[in-house]
Amino acid sequence: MEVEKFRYDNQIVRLFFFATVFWGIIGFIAGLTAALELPFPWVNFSAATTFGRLRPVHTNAVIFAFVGNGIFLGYYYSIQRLLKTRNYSDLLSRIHFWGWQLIIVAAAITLFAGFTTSKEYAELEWPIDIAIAVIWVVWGWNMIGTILRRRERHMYVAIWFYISTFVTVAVLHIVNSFEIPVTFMKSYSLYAGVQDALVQWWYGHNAVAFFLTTPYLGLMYYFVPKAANRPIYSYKLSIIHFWALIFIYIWAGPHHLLYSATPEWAQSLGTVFSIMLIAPSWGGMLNGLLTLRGAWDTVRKDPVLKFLVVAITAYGMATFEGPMLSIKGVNALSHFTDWTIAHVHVGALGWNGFLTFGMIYWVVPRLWKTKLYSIKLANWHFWIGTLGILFYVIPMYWSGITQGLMWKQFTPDGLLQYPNFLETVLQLIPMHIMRAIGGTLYIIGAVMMIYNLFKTARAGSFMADEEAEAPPLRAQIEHDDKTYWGHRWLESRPIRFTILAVVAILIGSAIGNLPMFVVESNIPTIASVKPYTPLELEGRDIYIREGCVGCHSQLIRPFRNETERYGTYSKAGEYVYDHPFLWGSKRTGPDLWRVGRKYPDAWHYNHMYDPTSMSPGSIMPPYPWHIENDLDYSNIEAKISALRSIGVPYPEGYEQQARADLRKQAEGIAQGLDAAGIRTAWNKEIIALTAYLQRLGTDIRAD
Amino acid sequence: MAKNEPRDELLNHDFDGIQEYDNQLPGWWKNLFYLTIVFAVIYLLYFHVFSVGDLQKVSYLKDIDPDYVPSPQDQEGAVFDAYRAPVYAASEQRTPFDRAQANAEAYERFEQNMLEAMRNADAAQLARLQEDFPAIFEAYTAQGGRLPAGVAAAEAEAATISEPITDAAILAGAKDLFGQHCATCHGDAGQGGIGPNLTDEYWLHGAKIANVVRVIQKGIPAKGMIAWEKTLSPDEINAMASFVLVELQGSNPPNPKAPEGDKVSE
Repeated sequence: MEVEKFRYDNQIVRLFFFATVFWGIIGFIAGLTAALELPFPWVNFSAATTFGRLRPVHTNAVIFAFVGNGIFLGYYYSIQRLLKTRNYSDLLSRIHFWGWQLIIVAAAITLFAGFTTSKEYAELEWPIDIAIAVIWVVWGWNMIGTILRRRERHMYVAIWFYISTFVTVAVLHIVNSFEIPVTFMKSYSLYAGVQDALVQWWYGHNAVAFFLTTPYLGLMYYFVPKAANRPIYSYKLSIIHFWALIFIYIWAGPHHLLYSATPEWAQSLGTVFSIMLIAPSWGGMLNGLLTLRGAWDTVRKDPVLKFLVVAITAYGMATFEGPMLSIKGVNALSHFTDWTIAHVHVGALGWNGFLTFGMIYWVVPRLWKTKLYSIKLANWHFWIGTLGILFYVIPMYWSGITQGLMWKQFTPDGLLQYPNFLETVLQLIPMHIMRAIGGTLYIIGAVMMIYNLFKTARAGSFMADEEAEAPPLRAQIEHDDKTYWGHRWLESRPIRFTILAVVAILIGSAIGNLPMFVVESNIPTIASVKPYTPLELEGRDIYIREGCVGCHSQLIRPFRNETERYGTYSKAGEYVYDHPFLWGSKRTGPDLWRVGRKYPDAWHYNHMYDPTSMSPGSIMPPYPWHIENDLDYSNIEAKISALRSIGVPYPEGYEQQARADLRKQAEGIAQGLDAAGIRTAWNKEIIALTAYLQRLGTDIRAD
Repeated sequence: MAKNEPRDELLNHDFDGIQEYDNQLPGWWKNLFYLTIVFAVIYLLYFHVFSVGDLQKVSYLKDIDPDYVPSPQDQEGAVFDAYRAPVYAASEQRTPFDRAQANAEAYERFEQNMLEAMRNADAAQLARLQEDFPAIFEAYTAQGGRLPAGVAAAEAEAATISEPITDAAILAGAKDLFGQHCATCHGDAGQGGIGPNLTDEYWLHGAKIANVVRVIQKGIPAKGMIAWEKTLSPDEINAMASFVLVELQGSNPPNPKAPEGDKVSE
């Protein structure tokens, strides 16, 4: 058989390696800083670095910058070798790399500056959303091109996972990012309230599934058998768990919304599909761990395998815990607490982090044609990192369960045992300090890795283009007179495979989301619920800008303890004008949905200036700049028109009255404050924010 | 079953040196998968088709009131309306949803009859009706129905006190509570701040102990005074009101807030 010579592009792998390590450290430090802000509020020293803005910087940096670059590093290394070809286009690879880095830089700048849509893991504003879609398609184009140019007849299981990642993330990102632009860096979600919540958590959950899980399973399927030098345990299992995983995963999003104002059929689908997800997820874990049969001896000595084994184990634990948290009874306790934070960090630190480290320790010596500088140092990294994970997650489980129980505790007289929310927050401070120590250990390990890899690269010489050879596909097909059927047949038909994967993920997406748009009865409307006034709208945009949703939910669940603490539980119809919804996913502070008219305006004024003045011991950062900053309402007309165009019933021509109405309401509040002894101009941010807070949840009040 | 089959048979697969076995799926793994699918089907039938399980609104109402009897409108969202309505519209008459509605209508008629009976009952009958049908009795009192003789007197006595408490230990306890809950708005010495001055002789909502107790219990929501009845017990509220009248009144703290309301001197 004739043989063709070609060269693998290692340069693109090296670029993504640098980016992974660089953004990894940035993302970890952002996380550590955010962690320190809870026990030590002075760490929130400026507007840009308050917890509300820093949290999305951390989550975006870790997910899209660290793990994202990690995906592409492993992808570019493995796909060329699995398909015996160079990438389809070096230019597309470079555009992909630099485009992705530019997006990350733009994300960091805009998030620190307060430009955010507030939808979790989709916070970036619309111009960046478009850039992400373009760059994502560049990657997919390059991938499909590479697959079509392959010299390997069948696609290996890793590639199935890469394909499903590409198509699903494209669908998720585009659908969830539908928003109506107001200005260059401001938009409103096309969806409102309950719809927005369902679309967002269909996206949010599957960002975990198809950004943090499927591509990493692909990497696992390449690097585990390579590093262990053992065959994959079961091809059958690969097929079953791959299709089951991508088909079932997409349905499970509403488990983020149990006991909420979403329709219960959606909640129940979330629960049962999460439970059915245990076996497909564990299929990946089994295929990873059982591949190591006969290689456990090596695991003892080889740091690469150690990292991979802990990563796969963490994956197994997190994918068992996830379904458990989707059971109503467990979720009733865990939701809105640190338990969720512990859960995601088992995945992020254990599965994604350790798999990345293992992969890097394996790839770098091969790129630089040398041996790892120090196995001992890598082993140290492994142990310090593992200790870091334990120090992180155990206190967070403790903290989550403690707070969940405290919220629910009643006295024998039937009163809340801890009516002051703050009491349940201050109880957690020792746990929050411990998790910061865990995070520090994890970072120390990563720094040791960087030193080790730096020394490794220095000792070797980088091989930009690696020689390889293989017979062309045509010759293989002629040579191979076997006819294939079933899945084996499909593996040699990449376009049909891709279409089938799209169908698999669209079924759950459609059934889970469409009824919310086409069936009216799912969101009962409430006549007394009215759109926000112009001033309240500006206040809401400040609330969004500051990332208040990072610590405060706006969703009262139908539990006795919640209605006692906050007031009547949330109804779907109350949120019909909420573009975007602001339910939140974590209560570091109390729920705010019924805070409207609970306190006087002066309370909010003083509280925003210094939270500890109204709530002694509060860990909320002070926001004195809201008292000084002039309210920028120059786009109020555009905001009103934009919202009307997506269904908020502002009367035609209301734009012309918006400014006058805004001023009138603001002056009223300023006069009220004046009567309480606080002198302030009407055109300050605090006035708009107060107007919004005083409106929250009051539409269905009887008085 | 997997025991007798050959294990670790290598397939003719080679991807960059990676080979693949074709081992059988582990039996426990397959069973786990089947079990979760069965669970899913039963779960959906239980909550959404046969409506055996309580959905969130009903379980909430039961938590609030152990005697609560579910009504059909509280089971909203129980069925897959979104999917079922167009497909099974013709057989709508026989769905469990309608039966439940009929039951509820029957219950409502029964409730009306019982309310009528309570209105016409003498004290002894009323006490018995209260014991037998507590949920309906609650609706009856909520509509302003009279209470059985004896009960009314006892409840009225427990709810209010006619004179401020002067017991030093109780007042000291109230002082601590004042520091925790009230001082942020009324000042640490009651001199006023966001809320009014509590030490002068001017009152917005009445100067009697019953007035003060009521303000603390129910709050003045329009002005931002919180209702404390869900946070503080009735005894604590009585103690707090007494503390205001006995200790704070006339204490002349520094930096008092300007008087608000009407002057009341006794």
